[in-house]
Amino acid sequence: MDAPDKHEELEIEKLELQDAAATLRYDLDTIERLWSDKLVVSSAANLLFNKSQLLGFFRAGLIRLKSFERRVTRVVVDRDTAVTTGSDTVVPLIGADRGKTVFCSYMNCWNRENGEWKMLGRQVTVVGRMKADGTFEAVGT
Amino acid sequence: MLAALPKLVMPATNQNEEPCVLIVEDDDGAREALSDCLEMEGITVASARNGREALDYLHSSKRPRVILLDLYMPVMTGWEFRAAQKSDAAIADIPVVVVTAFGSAVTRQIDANLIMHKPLDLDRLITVIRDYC
Repeated sequence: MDAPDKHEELEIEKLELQDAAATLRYDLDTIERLWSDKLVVSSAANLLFNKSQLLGFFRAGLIRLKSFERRVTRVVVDRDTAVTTGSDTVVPLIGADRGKTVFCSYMNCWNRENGEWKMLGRQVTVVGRMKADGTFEAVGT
Repeated sequence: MLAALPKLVMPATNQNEEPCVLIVEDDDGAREALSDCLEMEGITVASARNGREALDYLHSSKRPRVILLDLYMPVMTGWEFRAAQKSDAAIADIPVVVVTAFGSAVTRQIDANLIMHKPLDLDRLITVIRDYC
């Protein structure tokens, strides 16, 4: 069994953090660069989205965050494929979760396309919500 | 993450306009995200948080062309809503598309025009809705 390529794992982790920062800043140029044109996202709302739909939501102002903290917990690289897991903690500025701290777990899939890593898949699950007053809301009820 | 301004049981675009779709879903985030997505496609949407609100809506507002129905909801479930709808001649013929994450052990118990599984493929859902609208 080949030893893990730490250099590539660190590169993927760096890209993961760039993706989170770009999402928070609405940096669509970076997002466009990081995401594969074939991206599939299974969202916390149980809806599947592609890249153009998600970019449309950004442009329409439907994705606006006050904060976005990402913790990467695992990166596995196998040749031109990488899988990551982690947690995202976000505070949306609009929508049903406006002002709440939303805790998510996620799995992302990266694919090397023409020498560049691109996010190809993402699955997000909300695991908890905390209101501004500190009370915790159960999920899945 | 995707969401929009809070909407409760309201025709989302224009109260005088006949909605194409009535979304019946108790999860606020899921309901609003789906509503936003459909509206961005030019589809008029009304929404309800459970079967009871959906029945109240259908008895007091313009008929939708199709109903997107979740199953597990408080107050009135999707099964209870469907039974009440079918027993009411005024609304019995409105097509129902059930949206659920559950498999056939659950979905075989409901009579629907179509069953779509979560996570929902938005493109396919829009194609289905346009067939009704």
